[in-house]
Amino acid sequence: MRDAPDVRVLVPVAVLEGQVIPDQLIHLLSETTVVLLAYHEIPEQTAPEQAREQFEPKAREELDELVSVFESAGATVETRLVFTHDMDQTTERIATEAECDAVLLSNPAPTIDRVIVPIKEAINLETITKVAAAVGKRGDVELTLFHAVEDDGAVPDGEALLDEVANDLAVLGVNREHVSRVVVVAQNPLQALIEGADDHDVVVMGEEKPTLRGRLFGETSDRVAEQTVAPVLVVRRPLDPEPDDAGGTDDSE
Amino acid sequence: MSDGNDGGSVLEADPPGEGGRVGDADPAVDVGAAADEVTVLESGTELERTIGLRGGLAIGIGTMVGAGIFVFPGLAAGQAGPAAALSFALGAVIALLVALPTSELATAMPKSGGAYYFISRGMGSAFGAVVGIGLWLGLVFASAFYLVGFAQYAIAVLTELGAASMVSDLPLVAVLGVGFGVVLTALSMFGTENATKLQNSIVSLLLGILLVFLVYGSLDTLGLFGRQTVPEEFMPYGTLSIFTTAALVFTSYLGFAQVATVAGEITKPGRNLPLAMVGSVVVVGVLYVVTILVSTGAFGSGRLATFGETAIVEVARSYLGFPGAVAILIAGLLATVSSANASILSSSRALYALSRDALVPPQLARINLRYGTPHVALALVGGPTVVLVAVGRTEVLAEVASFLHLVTYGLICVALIGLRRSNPAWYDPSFRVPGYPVVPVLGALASFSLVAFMQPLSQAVGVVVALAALVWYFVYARDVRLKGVSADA
Repeated sequence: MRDAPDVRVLVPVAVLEGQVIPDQLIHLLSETTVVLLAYHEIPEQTAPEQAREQFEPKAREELDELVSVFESAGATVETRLVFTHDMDQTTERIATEAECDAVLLSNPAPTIDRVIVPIKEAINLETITKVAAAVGKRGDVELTLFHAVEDDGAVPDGEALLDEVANDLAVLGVNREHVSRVVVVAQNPLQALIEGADDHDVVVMGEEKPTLRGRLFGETSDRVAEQTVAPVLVVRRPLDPEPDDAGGTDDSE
Repeated sequence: MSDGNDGGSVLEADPPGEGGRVGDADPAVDVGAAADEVTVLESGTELERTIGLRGGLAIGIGTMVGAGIFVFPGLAAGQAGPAAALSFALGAVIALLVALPTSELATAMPKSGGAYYFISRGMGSAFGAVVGIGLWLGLVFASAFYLVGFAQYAIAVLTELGAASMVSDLPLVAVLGVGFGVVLTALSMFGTENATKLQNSIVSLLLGILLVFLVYGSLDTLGLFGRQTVPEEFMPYGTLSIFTTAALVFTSYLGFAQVATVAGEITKPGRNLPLAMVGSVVVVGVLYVVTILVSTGAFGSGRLATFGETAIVEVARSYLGFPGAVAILIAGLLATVSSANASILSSSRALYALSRDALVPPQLARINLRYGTPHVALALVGGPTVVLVAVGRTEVLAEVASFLHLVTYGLICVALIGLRRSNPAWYDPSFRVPGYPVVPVLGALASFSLVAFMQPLSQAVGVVVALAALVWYFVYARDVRLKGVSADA
């Protein structure tokens, strides 16, 4: 095995609700460092401390079991156990703290042969390539690089972009024969992606900047996960330099 | 599943300073170290903090605003005349004197349980038991009081619709109050989603309605729109009435400490806890004073008093006509519900904190496996509440609630002074009371002396509850020792 950059994937699991991470998916992540986020979301009426007192032993037990499954598949595993009222906030915080490159939105995956990687020029190409490589360098997976353009004139540029990504993947140890490239012309890129993902088992895609549309209708990645019913690896965008709303960093007042 | 570590049954005394880690007040209960967005326990388990400044303010304001504006103006004006505005101002000052020490303690111990937690850690488990049980029942009385207020508003709505006469042979206040009390408790037990978001929007809506009404009312009272205010002596019932009325209406300020009961869930506790507590007292204090001035300006206190609990509706009608009355009726329903709901939830948190320290049986903190809510604790809040709604009188409910809270508030100030003097190693608040020791001393004196101005019946009920709590402690939990507490050593 060659020296590849470490890829860190956050895997949130609703640990007390019997959520199962499919074996195929565990297999797929075997080349990565998995940050297992075992969480228990509790209603607002309950204090997190209170839930923790009652459920911690059980949650630890389930988590330990999951760890051993991931480890026996070959992944390096780190764990977090969180009791929370707000899962989104927790995922965001842990992903940042644990410096994860990607977050897994789990969905059932009976087999994993083909992985689609939508590429947009704008977003976070380097990390997407890195994550796709970690997934794609396992010999039994086919990668499809996918790019949607609005008119025929933009097709050559799109093809050039995908060539570049394919080259980077090869450098990172992905067999060229396992990488195919698709450029489609479509008015609605999201719809095109969902159709393109139809004969694929997993989506690896970049996280987009939060937008008003995202707030109203759900983030793109969530919608892809919902509509394709496939697991989605959401590659996080680089952190913005954080605007500090508190003024000072220490809470002296 | 609960082991000795959780229940903390009989723990040896451990004087502070010896092996006590900084930032860890009570190693026996593993309360963990607080950061901005999370509490990390020694086991590595994390508890997410999810309530921001806005949420904290909504809890404080949402709990308080129900009573002072929508229940008390008529009653208070009947007792003190226009000077009731001074009673409300006095209440706000006392609340601030307590809110500042509470903020310091809460930033030093940002855990669930609020006042109970501070006092048990500062003064030992006997005081802790009295305060914890007092807080539980104080909030039960407060919830009952808010529900009675809610029922009055529901009846006013029925009257407005012309439907009240059809059901006039029923004891409507009791029926509506009890009914809604049961509904609220049930909703809490089923773990209704987005309750916090709903509460936040209700509070924003309320403040919006009140702002329009009060600004218009103030300008009108000042004569800008040609209105003649009802001429009246400012203090028709003498100076003493200001104090007795302050004791009555202090129930309107019982919300700020509720922020401390969810201290374990507030983000950036060092900054947001003091801001939420002090901010909510200032906001509602100003609203209350203006409300009284506007109300007495509209009718004169004698007439205002005859309108009873829903006096503010008539005030709104006189300024803004029928739409004003409707808006205030809706606001009154929302406000009393939000107050009752917030109180029921904090009360169950108080019970949980008691059970965590083994001062009450551990079964009380059990979480329902299906709904994920503390159903036993919620039932122990909702049950007594509806009983009180059925039998209670508004003034007595309010005063008993105030009595039990005031005792707690006084003890908070005492606990602060005690902790500052003994200065244990773990005590490291990020907010410190300005004007120490004057503020906590005045806060304690004011809290205890306000109790003296209450009706004898309320005082008697309050004393009985406190004594019963003490008896419970000596019968059930005398052996409980809380680690790191010097008073128990």
